[in-house]
Formats: sequence, C-alpha cells, structure tokens
Amino acid sequence: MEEDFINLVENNQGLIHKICRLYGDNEEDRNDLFQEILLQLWKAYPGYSGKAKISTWMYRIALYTAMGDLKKRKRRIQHLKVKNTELNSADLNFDLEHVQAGISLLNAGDKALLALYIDDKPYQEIAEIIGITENNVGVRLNRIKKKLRESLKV
Amino acid sequence: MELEEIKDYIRKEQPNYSRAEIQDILRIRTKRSLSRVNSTMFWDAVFMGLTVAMLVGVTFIIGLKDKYIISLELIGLALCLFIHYRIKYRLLNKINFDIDLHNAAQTAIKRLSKFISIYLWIIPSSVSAIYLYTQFRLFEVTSWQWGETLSRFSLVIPIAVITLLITRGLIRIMYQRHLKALKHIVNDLA
Repeated sequence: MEEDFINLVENNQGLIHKICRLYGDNEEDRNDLFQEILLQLWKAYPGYSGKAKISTWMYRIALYTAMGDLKKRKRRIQHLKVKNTELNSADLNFDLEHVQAGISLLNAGDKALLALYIDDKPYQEIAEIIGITENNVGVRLNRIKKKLRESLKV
Repeated sequence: MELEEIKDYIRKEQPNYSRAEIQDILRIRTKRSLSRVNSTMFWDAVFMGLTVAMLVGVTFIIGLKDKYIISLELIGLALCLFIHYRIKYRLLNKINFDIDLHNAAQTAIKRLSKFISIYLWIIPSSVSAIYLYTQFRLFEVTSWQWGETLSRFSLVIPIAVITLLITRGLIRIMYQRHLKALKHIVNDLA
C-alpha cells in the first residue's frame, strides 16, 4: 500500500505544492504544510472509496488541512498585513515576495479557489471540490482578481 | 496583477520531490506524529488513573465497600472512557472527503456540536444521579430525619452546577479549537 501511495504522491505532488505555496508564507511554513498534508493523505488513503476522482479527493484533503490551522493562519495574515504596508509601491516589482504578500491577504476560502483555478480546473470541478455553485465560482474568482489588483496595485 | 501572472509564478516556483524524498518525508512526519500521539496518550492515561483513584476513594469514604460495586464502577468508567475516545477519534479524524469541503466541514460541526450537547447533559445528570443514589442507599439503612435529609439532598444542585462548569471547561480545552477552525472553514468557503 505504501508503494501505491508514494506513486500517487509522486504523480500528483504538484497540487500539494501549489496549495503549500498559497497557504505558506515562507519556506519553513510550506515544508511543514507539505509534511502535514502528506500525513493526512496517508491517514485517509485506506478509506478512499473511489467515489470521487483521486485528484478531487486529494484536493479536498489538502485544502482541508491547509485551511484548518486557524492559529497559524491568523498569525500569518497579521504578519503580512504589516509587511504589505511596509512595501513602497515605487519599489515594487512582480517579485516573489510581492506576489506572496498579495496572496496572503486573501482568506482561506479564496486561496482554495485560487489553488484550483491555477491548476486549470474547470468551474464544475472547482464547485464540486469546494461545495459552491458554478456561478458562484465565477463571481468569486472575479472578486479575487479585484482583491489582488487592489492589494498589489501595480 | 492578473491571475494569469500568479499562475505562472506558482508553476515556476514548484519543487519536485523524488520518490525517496517523499518516502523520507512521510517516515519522518509519521514518527513525529506518533510521538505526539504517545504524549497525548500518556496524559490521557494519567487522567484516567486519577479518575479511577478518585472514584475508588469516594466509594470507600461513603462506605460502599462491596467489591462487586467497585468492580462494576471501574468497568463502567472504563467503558465510558473507551466510548469517549472512540467518539473523539471519529469526530476529529474521520472527515468524509467523498463529499465537498463545505458540506464535509458542516457535517463535522454538526456532529461535534451534537456530541458536546450530549456531554453537557449526560455528565452533570449522571453525577447528580449517582450522588442521589448513594444518598438514598445510605438513608435506607439509617433513620429518616428531615433536617439531615434536606441538607444532604440540597447538595444536588451545587454538585450539578459544579460538574456542568467543569464539563464545559474540559470541552472548551478539548474541542473549542477544532470547532473554531471548522467554523472558519465553513465561513471562508461560503
């Protein structure tokens, strides 16, 4: 079973990395989150029923794990709010720190949508994973675009 | 900044772990998780030991020295703790990912809230009932005196209130963090 699981993670690790990138502010956070997601997937793996596509199932667990840590998330948001106000718009480029700061100002639900959008998931699948309507997916993605434009202002 | 640019940025920045690396990460993380579980289990065991000692002490103090009663109490206590840990494990670890995230989190909240309400009713009522039962048994063998009877029975309400407060405190320690996190997930996804 471990072999199958390792194969699964090896072939789908991109989705975990995307989520870690969106929910973690720094390398340490991202590594911790990657490990935590891996552990949760491993614990849930024997119970995978095959009702949902394996990537959908992996997304649900990974997003649930990433969204679940309330304390870390609060600390992160506060830290980045301070960091964002310190950024001088004249010095801003589309560098990594800047993009990361913009993303971190989104709430956990918006990040989940963004993660799925980045993976080119169709609206229908995004709706299935998150549990909102397809129309709502479109509306919320537009709101996310607007929020990012405003927070990054470049 | 457009979403397309963020898409490129996220894709460019992605590491790629080898099979061996994934295996190592999983092993290290599983080991760390196990040691965390062990330390939780240690404190659970300490809590269980103290509860049993307290129960045995109270049983002797109030004069119920019957070995069968004590054995039954211990079996009952062990059964309650076993059920509690099973429910706790299922509540916090068994999330149904066959359904969407929003529904999965909502179901978990409902289940957790129901469990908390049951706890809040059952524990104070059981403690009060046990107290009443022991008092009733003692009065069977002694003479009925209204003053003493009233003073003994009047303790039921303070006992129930204190137990309720202790139960609420314990529930807060055990489940409040999880409940808050789940509510945040539901709010953020809605």
